[in-house]
Amino acid sequence: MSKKLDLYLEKIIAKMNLDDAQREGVEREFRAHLEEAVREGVEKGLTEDEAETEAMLAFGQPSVIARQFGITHGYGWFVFERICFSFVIYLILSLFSKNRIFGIIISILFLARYLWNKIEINGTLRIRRIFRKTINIPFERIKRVTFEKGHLWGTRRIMLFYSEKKASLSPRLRNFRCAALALDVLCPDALESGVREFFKRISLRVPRERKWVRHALTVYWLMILILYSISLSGLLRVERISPLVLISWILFLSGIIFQAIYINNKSQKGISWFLLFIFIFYLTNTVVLVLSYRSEYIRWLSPGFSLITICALLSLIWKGKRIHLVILVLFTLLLLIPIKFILPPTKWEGEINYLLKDKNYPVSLSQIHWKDNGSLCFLLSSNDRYDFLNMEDQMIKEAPFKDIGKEKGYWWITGKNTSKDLTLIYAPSRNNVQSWKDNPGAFYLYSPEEEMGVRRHNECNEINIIIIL
Amino acid sequence: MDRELLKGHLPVLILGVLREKPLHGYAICREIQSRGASELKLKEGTLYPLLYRLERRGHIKSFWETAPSGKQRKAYKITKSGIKMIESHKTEWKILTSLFSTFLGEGWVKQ
Repeated sequence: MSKKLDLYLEKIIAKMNLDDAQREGVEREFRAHLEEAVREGVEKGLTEDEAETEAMLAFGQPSVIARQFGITHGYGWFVFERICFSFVIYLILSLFSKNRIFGIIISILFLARYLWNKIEINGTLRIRRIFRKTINIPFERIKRVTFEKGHLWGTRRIMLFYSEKKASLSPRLRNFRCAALALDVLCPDALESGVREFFKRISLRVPRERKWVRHALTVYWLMILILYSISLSGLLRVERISPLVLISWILFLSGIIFQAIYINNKSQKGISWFLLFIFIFYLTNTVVLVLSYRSEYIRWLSPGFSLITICALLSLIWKGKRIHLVILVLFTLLLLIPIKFILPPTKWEGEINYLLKDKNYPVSLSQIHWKDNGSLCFLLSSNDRYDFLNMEDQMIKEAPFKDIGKEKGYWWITGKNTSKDLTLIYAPSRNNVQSWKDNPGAFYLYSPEEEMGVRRHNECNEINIIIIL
Repeated sequence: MDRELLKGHLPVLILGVLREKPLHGYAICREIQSRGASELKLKEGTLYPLLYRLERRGHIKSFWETAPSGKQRKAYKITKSGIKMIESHKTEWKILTSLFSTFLGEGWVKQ
């Protein structure tokens, strides 16, 4: 079999969504078919070159055959491989914009352009571009195919000269590689040497993947999943982007980008890009929320991240079956379900008890509550002179004992934390007590976040405060 | 004739060819073309996905045989399920014919 047929066959096989065993069988079968067709052509009186060209034309376009195999052998991937990089980037950037609707419209236009612009090969070379007239070029009329040096962005274009006209062929158009192969096979004399080299390079661009890399990737995802599962319970309570969270993002991003680039299988590649898109979208949304001082959303990332990692692991064993796609969609939908329902609440709803050890002072404890930042607040008043019903932070600052806190720092002496309850002992100095007496009023006490943050109070059912005066 | 309509029946045409004797892919193509389906302008490569689909559904079975040139090639033979499929297709076709007769008159086939 000549090099031309080998290249043609390799092109079909490379485009197919098959595993190694199927690939080998299909390759043998197609090879036998083409050899027989060539032999028959030669018997009819054609030259070997002519017979090969005829056999290839009769066999059909590699992309069409491969696509039909995609439909037959699995679901194929028709949507996500078509998502333009610029669409994804623009959509993400537009989320930060105030006029995001315009960003979304522009990103959809990017996508429409990418979906519409394509090359079709059906007897003729058909170049379809949005907002432009479709060009049909019969192969036999193509006289010269040359390179044109890039424009502003440096993208190289192929110029086709036919019937006193010329048309450009951008490598960014869909099916460009298929068109390159068709031109290489059908118009070999029209190609300039540089173009021929370029076509050969892009035709053979699909690398053979190695099994051990695929196994290594599987182990990689499993390890990330195990590590993440171990630290998940802790991460569920984290309300800020910690180094551990950052590392896990980097690990996931690098793994999924590698998988998307390296894996040959079209469906698996498509899923990898899709997962990357979902991950970036999810991450961006959460980071935007966190930056908007809604720190509780950071906790949503952990279960979502675990699901995406499971998807990444599953994508490696994806065979393009429809049921797998359904499972993946369900997994993705799970990400969209408000995960807060399965997370422990940020607002503490337990019981607070208090005990005054010295009853000589007319001190009362009131307005006990947890603030959103995790601090425990309560009001100590030495008489009923102030009306505390409408107490706000601003009013508290006006209370006579506000400076005590500044001088002495926080008054929490100790905190005993058991699995179910938390006991806090508060003991201000005698001087402070004296000053309350001299300046009757109220003051506001709160625990520092580091000491009594969400991490601790979420774990308790009951909090006991003992005040020793 | 509408090519798409004919393409829809191509699996049955393949089964019809294989009912007579087991054949390999290239021979099936030639047989279909020689029996007047050249109107389809069928690309030979697109026949294989259909063969694989029929095999996956159990209507045909593949086996490797030795060609006269001494090389191995894959051949296909029809199964019981494939014969059943032809029969059910025949029934469907009869129903469709009678439906057309009801609407277009008894003599529509001759016209």
